Amino acid sequence: MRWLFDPASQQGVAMRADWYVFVAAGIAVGLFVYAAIFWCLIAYRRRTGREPAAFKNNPPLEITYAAIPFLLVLALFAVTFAIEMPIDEAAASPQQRISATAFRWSWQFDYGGGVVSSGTTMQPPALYLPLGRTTEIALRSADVTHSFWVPAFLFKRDAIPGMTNVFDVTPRHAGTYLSRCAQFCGLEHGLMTFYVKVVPAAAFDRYLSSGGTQKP
Amino acid sequence: MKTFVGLFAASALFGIALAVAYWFVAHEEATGAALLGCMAAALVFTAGYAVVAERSADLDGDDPNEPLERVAGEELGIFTTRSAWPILVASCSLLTLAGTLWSPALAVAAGIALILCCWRLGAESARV
Amino acid sequence: MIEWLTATNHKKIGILYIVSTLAFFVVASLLAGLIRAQLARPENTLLDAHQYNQVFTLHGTAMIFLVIAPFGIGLANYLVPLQIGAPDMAFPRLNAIGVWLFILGGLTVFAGLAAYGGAAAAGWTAYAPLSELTEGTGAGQDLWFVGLLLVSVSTILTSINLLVTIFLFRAPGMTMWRIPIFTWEIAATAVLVLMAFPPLAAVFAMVLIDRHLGGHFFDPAYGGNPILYQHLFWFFGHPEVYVMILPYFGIVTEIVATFSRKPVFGYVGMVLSAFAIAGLSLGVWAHHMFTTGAVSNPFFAAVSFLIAIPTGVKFVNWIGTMWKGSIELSTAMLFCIGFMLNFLIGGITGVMIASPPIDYAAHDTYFIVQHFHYTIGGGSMFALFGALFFWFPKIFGVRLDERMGKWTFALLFAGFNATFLPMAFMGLEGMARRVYTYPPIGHLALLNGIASFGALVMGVGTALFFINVVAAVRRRVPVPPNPWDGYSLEWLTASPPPEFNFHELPPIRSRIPAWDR
Ligand SMILES: [Cu+2]
Ligand SMILES: [Cu+2]
Repeated sequence: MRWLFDPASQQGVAMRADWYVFVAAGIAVGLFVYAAIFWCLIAYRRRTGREPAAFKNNPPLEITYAAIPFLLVLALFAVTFAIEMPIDEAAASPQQRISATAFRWSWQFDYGGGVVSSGTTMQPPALYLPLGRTTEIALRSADVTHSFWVPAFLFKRDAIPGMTNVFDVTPRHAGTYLSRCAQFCGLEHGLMTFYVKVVPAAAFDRYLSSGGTQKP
Repeated sequence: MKTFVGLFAASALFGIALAVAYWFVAHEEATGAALLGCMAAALVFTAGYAVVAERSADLDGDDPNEPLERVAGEELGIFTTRSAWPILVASCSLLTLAGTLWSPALAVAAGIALILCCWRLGAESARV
Repeated sequence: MIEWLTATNHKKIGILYIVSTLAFFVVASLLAGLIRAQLARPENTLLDAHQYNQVFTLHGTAMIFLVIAPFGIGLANYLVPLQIGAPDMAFPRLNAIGVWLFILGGLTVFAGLAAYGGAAAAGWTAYAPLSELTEGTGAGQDLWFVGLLLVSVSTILTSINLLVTIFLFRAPGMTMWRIPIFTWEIAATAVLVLMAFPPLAAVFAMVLIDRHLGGHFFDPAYGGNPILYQHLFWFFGHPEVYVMILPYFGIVTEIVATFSRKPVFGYVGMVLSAFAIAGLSLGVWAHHMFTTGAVSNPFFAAVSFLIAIPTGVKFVNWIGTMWKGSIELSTAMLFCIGFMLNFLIGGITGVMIASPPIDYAAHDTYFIVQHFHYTIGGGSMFALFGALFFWFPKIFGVRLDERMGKWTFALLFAGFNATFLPMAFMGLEGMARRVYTYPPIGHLALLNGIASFGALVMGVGTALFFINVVAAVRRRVPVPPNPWDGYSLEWLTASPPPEFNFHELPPIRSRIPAWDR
């Protein structure tokens, strides 16, 4: 829950705005419709001596109530589009590149230069990310479709056999975040977790230059 | 006004519009374009059928002041109330499909039975 | 027994559908109970991973393919000829083939439980390449595909039958613009089925070819493509959502108008919105694929948002029907109010997840589980119970107890919201769908505890409903033709109706023939 209010990545902060707009619009529309339904139930309960009205339609009103949602939907689409475009666009020259491969039922992270880490369901691997650096993650799958989900980043992307999915993440809080596979991938899908560890950039560089021996 | 003809004509137009819009918005994506194209073609086909059916059918329901002389029920044709063939057709379909996966002999036997049942069902429905 | 096995009359077939879907409903509900028992506590060991995967796969499959969708079509089988004044469906034998394909298909899916390696365990979506692996899921997965292939063929056949019946078998005076909204919604559903189900049958056949005949449709190592499966499946899958909701929109419309003692408000708007929803729903399938990075997210987001408009029209028209009416809160009406309250939440969360930046967080989590249960469970299932209370006297000639019915409603409504509202927050706390276990982090233990307690309450409510049915059937108090003062044609014949529905067809001069008298 707290990740919604305080996402751990800059992309997450942008997407949080989308959540806020849609939740606010949803609550407003919901309360309006609930009020109308309960008003009918209270005011027009069956009582002896009162006849129901006989009107069957009201075209101007019906058109109005189709036009208002249309405008609302248009505005929501504009918000969606504005927020989504920069997130879907991977930077041309990221500060860091990491390749992640999903397999049944764990993950392998390849930082380049021979630094590779991998795990099992019982020993989930750690994905180290440098704080504040825009990091490009290239996602692949070795067998079936998986999904790379970091709840703290409000983000996931599918790992699909035969294709590479590329996206950027810019962590803004140091910390350890429990993450997992989100797409059902068979028997131990429930245990296919990993830890995202956002560490200061210097510690991250030391991890790479030591060939993966100096864990931050 | 034959409402259902208009309905299908409108859906066919919508299907074409959707397929064209998709082609331009997501033109690198061939699977969706093919699916929407097939759907649009199917809707055009049904719209065409609706036009043909409307020409040949003489519908009681479409006149708002149709007199009641032609009461429904027996007048609309005699309806069957029971037939043993449908459940046999369904069972043979299942066996044919299962046979295709696991046992060619079963597939052939059930397939022949399926054709026989369909044939008997057709013959029966021509009578009542 | 033989009488039922060889029946071709649409009312008998309708009853076969209703009884078999209710039987599947009981099984699927018990499976839901197992799911909630397993997830009641973190790191529970009641079920192991393989058992849990079979349980949630069968629960989803049964509720979608064997309960909610076929109940709507089965009820249509019973009601449409009555509502338009026809003696039977256009093709009675085809109708019988349809119901038996459905029942045999459903049993085939469950027959997987007896197979070596257990029943299907790849989820109701059965994504390839997962569903093409043979280890763990052997014959059970095959039986799943075979069974659902039969069910999809059955649905296509019945839809053709319903369309022809609605177009060509209307009684004198029953113009298209006079047929009840339920029948209209069924017409829209049938068109949707004809467009959406053939790709499903195709994709299931492709998987079977891959599994048994050496095909590689979805295997990238041989030039296949897993995304192709998702496209074909969701081209069916999203319209299927509306196959599971449009008939229930119709049910709610009829019940609300009857118990408000007012004709349906905005009849033409209701019809046009049904077809608008059906049409638009054919262009939104890839909103289930936003996180694949392989589809045009803006296109599918835009078309998905547009569906909110015709759905909003329906809400306006239901409220317009109740407005200045004379509302009687019968059990059926209560279930329809529950439908509106729940479905609205499902609709609003649906617009949220149609926005890709929100879906990036929500997709494949319990937020989605919450969303679709609010539409199909809190929506369609509540309308299903409303329909049972409303048409039970017409179909079976006896009335269900209203006091027990209201208790059923209260238990189901409270239990439903206690079960599924917490799931929105579970998703945000990091709980993925289809996990058999979860760690005790955040509030997950508390939220899951509430959800499992809610499920228990729903179980009591469901049991009470079936007690009510048994009691009503044993009491055998006959009912008059029109116990609720309904307005459509089916209330002008005996309860239950004679073999060919009407001994003497009543005059039809408006949309409310029974109120014209
Ligand atoms: Cu997984
Ligand atoms: Cu959808």
